[in-house]
Amino acid sequence: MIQFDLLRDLARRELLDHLDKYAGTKVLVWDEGLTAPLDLIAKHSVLRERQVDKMVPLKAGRLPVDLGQFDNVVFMVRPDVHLMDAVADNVQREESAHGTRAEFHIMFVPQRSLLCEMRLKEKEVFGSFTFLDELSLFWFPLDIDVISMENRSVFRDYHLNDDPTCLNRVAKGILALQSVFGVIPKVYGKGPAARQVYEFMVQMRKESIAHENPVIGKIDSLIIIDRQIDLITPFLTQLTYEGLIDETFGIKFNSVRLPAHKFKAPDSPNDDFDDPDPFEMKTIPLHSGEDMFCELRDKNFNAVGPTLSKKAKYVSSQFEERHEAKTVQELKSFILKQSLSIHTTIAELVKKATDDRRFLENLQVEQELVNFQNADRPLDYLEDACCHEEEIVKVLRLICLQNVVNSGVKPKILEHYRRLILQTYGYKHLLTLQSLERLGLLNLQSQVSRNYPVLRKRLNLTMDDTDEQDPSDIAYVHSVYAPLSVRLVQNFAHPGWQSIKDVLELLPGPTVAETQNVPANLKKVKDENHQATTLVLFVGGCTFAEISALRFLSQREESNTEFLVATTALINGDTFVESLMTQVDDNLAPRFV
Amino acid sequence: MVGHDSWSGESLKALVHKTLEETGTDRIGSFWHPINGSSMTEISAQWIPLGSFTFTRSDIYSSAWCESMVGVEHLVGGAWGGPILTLAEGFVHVFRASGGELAHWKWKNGRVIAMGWSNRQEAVLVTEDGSVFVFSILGELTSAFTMGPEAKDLKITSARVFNTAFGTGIAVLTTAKRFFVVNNIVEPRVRKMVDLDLSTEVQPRAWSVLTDDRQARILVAHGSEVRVISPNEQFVAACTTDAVPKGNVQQIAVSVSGEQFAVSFEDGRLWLGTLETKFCHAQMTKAAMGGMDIVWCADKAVIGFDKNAVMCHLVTIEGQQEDLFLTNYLTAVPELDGIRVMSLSGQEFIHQVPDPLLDTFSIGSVGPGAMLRLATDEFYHRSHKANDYVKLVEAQLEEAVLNCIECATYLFDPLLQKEMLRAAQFGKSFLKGASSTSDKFTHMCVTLRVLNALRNYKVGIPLTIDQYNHLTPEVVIDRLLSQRLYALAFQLCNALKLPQHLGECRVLAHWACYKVSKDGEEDNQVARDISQRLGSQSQISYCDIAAKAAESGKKELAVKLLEHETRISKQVPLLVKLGKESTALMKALNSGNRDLAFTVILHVRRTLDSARFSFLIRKFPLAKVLYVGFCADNDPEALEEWFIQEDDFTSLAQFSFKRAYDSGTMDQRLSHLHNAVENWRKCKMEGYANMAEENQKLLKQQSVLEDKVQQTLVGKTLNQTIFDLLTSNETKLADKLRNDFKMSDKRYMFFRVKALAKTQKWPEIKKLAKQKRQPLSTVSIVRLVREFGGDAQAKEFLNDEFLSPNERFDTYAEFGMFFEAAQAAFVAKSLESLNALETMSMGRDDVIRAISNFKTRLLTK
Repeated sequence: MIQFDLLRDLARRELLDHLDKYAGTKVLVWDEGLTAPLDLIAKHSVLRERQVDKMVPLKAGRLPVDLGQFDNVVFMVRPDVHLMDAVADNVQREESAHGTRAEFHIMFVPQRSLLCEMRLKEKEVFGSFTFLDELSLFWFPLDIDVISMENRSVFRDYHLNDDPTCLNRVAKGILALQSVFGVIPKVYGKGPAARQVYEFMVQMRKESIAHENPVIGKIDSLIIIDRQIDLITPFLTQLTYEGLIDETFGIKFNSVRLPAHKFKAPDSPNDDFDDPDPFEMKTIPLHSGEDMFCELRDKNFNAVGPTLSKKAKYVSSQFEERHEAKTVQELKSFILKQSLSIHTTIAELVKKATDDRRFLENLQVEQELVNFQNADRPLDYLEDACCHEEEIVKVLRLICLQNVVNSGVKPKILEHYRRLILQTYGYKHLLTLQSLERLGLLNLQSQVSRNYPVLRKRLNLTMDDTDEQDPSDIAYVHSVYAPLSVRLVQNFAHPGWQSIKDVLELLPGPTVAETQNVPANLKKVKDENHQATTLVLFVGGCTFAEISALRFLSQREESNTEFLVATTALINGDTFVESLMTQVDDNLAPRFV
Repeated sequence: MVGHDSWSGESLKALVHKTLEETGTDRIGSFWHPINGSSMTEISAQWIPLGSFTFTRSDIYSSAWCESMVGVEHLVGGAWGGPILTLAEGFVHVFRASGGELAHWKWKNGRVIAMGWSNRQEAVLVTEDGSVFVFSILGELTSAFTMGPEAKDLKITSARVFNTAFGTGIAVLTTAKRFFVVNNIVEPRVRKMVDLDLSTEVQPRAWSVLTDDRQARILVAHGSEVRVISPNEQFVAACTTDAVPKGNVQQIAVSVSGEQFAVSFEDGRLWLGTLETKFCHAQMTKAAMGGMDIVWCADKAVIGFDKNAVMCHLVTIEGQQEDLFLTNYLTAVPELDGIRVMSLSGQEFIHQVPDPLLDTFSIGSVGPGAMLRLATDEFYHRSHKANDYVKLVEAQLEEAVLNCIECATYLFDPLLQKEMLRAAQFGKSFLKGASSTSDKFTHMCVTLRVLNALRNYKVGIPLTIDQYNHLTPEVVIDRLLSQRLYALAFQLCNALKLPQHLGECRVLAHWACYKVSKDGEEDNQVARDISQRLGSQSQISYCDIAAKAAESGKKELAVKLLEHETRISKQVPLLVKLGKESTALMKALNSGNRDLAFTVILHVRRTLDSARFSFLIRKFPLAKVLYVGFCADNDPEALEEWFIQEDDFTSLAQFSFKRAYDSGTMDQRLSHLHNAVENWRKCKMEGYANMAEENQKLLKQQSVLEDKVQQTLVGKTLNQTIFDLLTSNETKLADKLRNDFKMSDKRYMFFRVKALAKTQKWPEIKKLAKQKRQPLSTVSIVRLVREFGGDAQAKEFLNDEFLSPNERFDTYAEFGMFFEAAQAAFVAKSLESLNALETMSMGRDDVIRAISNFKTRLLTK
């Protein structure tokens, strides 16, 4: 079985090789967008071994360190032109303050960029850099079966700005994967972005085929899913444990930040003296390396409580029976007890959020929408939400969902929604409304036939009788709704896309079904149980619920396919909507203070 | 300059064919040719046993030597079977090791002090003023640099060109007795050695370069001492700290490995050793070595040569000595495993006898190889003795076969090679089962064919098997390419099965580059020839070839060649250079490579006039997108200009709208908004125009209202503005605003109640709540009341007057008022609600008790 941990090791080696090149002590200046992802690759202690004595976030102004002590200043940045201004400012100030002896280097992740270098030249600091390097880190291995590019703007760039260059990097990423796991013989996909990624892959492979790594194939097929073909799923609230943690608190790079005082053991000695600081946050790692989380993450949240109490009973019985044996077993149950207590606390926090009246109402509206019930309900609910100044992303999310399900809205409702947004959140959101219209997320209903009802029926997208405790269908991840994207993948594995040709035709963009040439000696060796490995690539992002659904498919008894996930970003409705909004700052000073 | 374009040279092609087909012999030609015909028995006759070593002399080429090499100013042969470089009468000549001329050119760069061959087989010439010139083997100047100002101003008296594992270096001695060294001519950085601490004014004569380290050091004689100097230190070498006086040093020679060195003294003695005081040996010699050239023979011995004597003199590191007959000596080239000695009568190789040959050819040897050879002989003489010999080696048959194969590789004569291979093959037929010998046999046959082809006098690269292995086949191919022996190189790659990018493709690319830079052929023909021979292999960079063509001023040819390039990232920059902007832009955009696309866009923006630039960008939608994105980040004015020029009203509207929010004053904002409205109207987007107009209206009204109510309203949303007005009791103004902006009844009512609740006007709220056809639900009103008035005020509404028992239950439960909720459920007679409440209030024993009380009362009724 493939484990993406290998990518982490490769990336780490590349990073450390670069660091070794800069002899002596170093200050690392991080682009904050990279802090968390790079933490996945190399922990601080590893960096410290390489004489990285100080790490500071990238900000304009003087560096907050005494450069006299260091031999090198290494900037680690994404190739974003705007970041170059801060880099240039840092360098200029250090150089004008005192002729520093430190050498400057810049490491672009994952690629150098002409425009960035131009900006550095314009600012007259380009010559100050000894090394301009690339850390070709296309994928952040979030888990053994999930990798992400952590680039949330792909959907916007391609579908809104008509700029396919972002997909070039995705294709490059796939080629990088193929150089480790072998060429993937079969490539399927749906949607314009899928086609484009495939075309870039072909072109790139043609150029580099002479230097292709001779690796024996480990992946049988690649399915490229353009987010555009399923815009329903991201707008729906995820109801898996991990999904709900993400919806309520936001998971960033495998960890979530929660109030620290909730996690203090009740009998810890310090509590008598200090009042817990309610604002102190604790970072809790969420990774399949932890058995308890691994078991809980993909469950529907309603099944999390029972599982936790079952575990709790088990742990307490272990402690009673074996309190004399100081064994490994005991240690194990101690660890179990610890993670049990952490997840009980998280589950309580999530429960509190999901018990909220508005959460439940919102959920009900969503579920009615996908089931075509109560057509007037959204308007009423949204009006209410706007009175209470609910976050704008939540409001837009529901509007988009309604729009996608109905392939647009009636003129009157469109006008009403627009007014609601502009009057509640300000007219500056007008540009966002225009973007949503262009993307078909808030527009007039056209006369053309609506697709969702057909898709719903042909693909069994909604289910009334999902068993949340012991599910038999992927619909459990949203309790009533099966993610369209994953349903397509499921149909691909069995009985094949041939049988849903009519459905595929309803979805936007071309269908990709291609074969890549693999030298005979590098073909995958079939294992005994004929387990196939399929990599599902989401272009434009995927949700935790979709990943859970794919894991569910892998684990089903009759399944003979192992699914791996690659995505351009992990998203949920909030972050997805946010990525589509146009930020406009209001610079008018108030007259009265 | 003379060169060979060998692809068209039919004779060589035929020759190559022949040499690869069979290891045949060839005695034609007026130059040296290979000597053949020595028989097996003669092999050991030439051996010279000396202590634990046995040396031998193998003839390589024999010929009447060209007169042109006699009496030249400089003459130096290159290692690795390299060519000979001479300087005579103002001309530099390059000859193959086998004698034929490769190139010559006029020398006009000043007095040459020293010459040599670089690691990459380039001719290196050092002149009096410290200038260094590097030429390709065919006489094209590839680089030139100087050894620093001191060398230039004061001149140099001597210089050395030396090769190390890291590259080729130059060392010079100036008239001021200072040494300067460049360790690698590829990146020449001149380093000064420490000043010599001398007691006499005499210019040092005997010196050499010690290359056992990345930084070369100088060994220099001073009287009877040898000093070692580096950039930062100097010391006296151990060889001269011996007590015995030895007279002045005459010569110093360093071995190929760069570690061992030999020192000869005026009184005819010789010292051999390394720097680490480990003497290998210090020995007196029979004959005076004073006037001789001393050359190392593979770290095992040195040989002293004298142009005027008929003998040369060999001394091993163990101190054994032997005189060897040699007349008309010209020069000697130290090799990895011996010395190539050139004389007027030919060229021979003096070397140690390799072990396999010793084992097999020693007189009376009973080694397995020797036995197998005898057996083979007998077999081909149809003698039954063959069987006896085979029996003798049966147990070591595999070793015997390997031994014979190895012997073949060490022999120079193809006939002898064949004989040994035949013995190996004979032995192989007795080996049962699969054996590694088969692979080795095939491999060696190929290698031998390659070696023989290289040694052929028309090619003239006499490599031994050890040299060949050390050099690697890739480097050998390089050497052939630099001599433009494309056909031979191509076939060798084929025979050796080198990977395409190192082998055939590389050869073809070199050939093509040469082909395009040559004048005299028609472009179309050249392009056709090249594409025919190269095909569509992506491993060949058509781009490099095209670049070469462009360099030689053949633009059209370059464009034609570029059509075959598969790598867009290489193709595009050259297309731009060739003035094919449109094609370049199209290709760059299709590739999706952002940097590449911008390279073209920014280039054309710089170089084309604005009309042509716009025309080009307009042709490609993606180019527009990228250019617009670039301007948004770097040049907003150009952006607006572009939109105006393109009549892109939607973008202009958005642009103005963003600008409106950027501006700091109300007037500016309103005027930009006005522009936005206009532009949206122009592109028939009435909806957005109206919305932006509403925005204008709101701003205007807010600023008027601000004066009336004396608080900030501008910048607030309509919801907030109305709420603020209601809170300040400006109901009429709020009403008007609400009507102007068509705020829904429900929302307006919500803010009315909220404002009332905030100002604690409970009776008014009650009045509103009692109204019929209320747009806001009573529960919502109660929630607002609780928000500002707490549970106590909320309770005022939680009665029959406002809410049904069921609504009351829900509201109480939502507020966490469980006792009251239980009461309400009881009133509503809802057992279901009570049950639900029971799970909700888990842990509150008092509530649970009350609930169960109500439940019993409901059940018993």
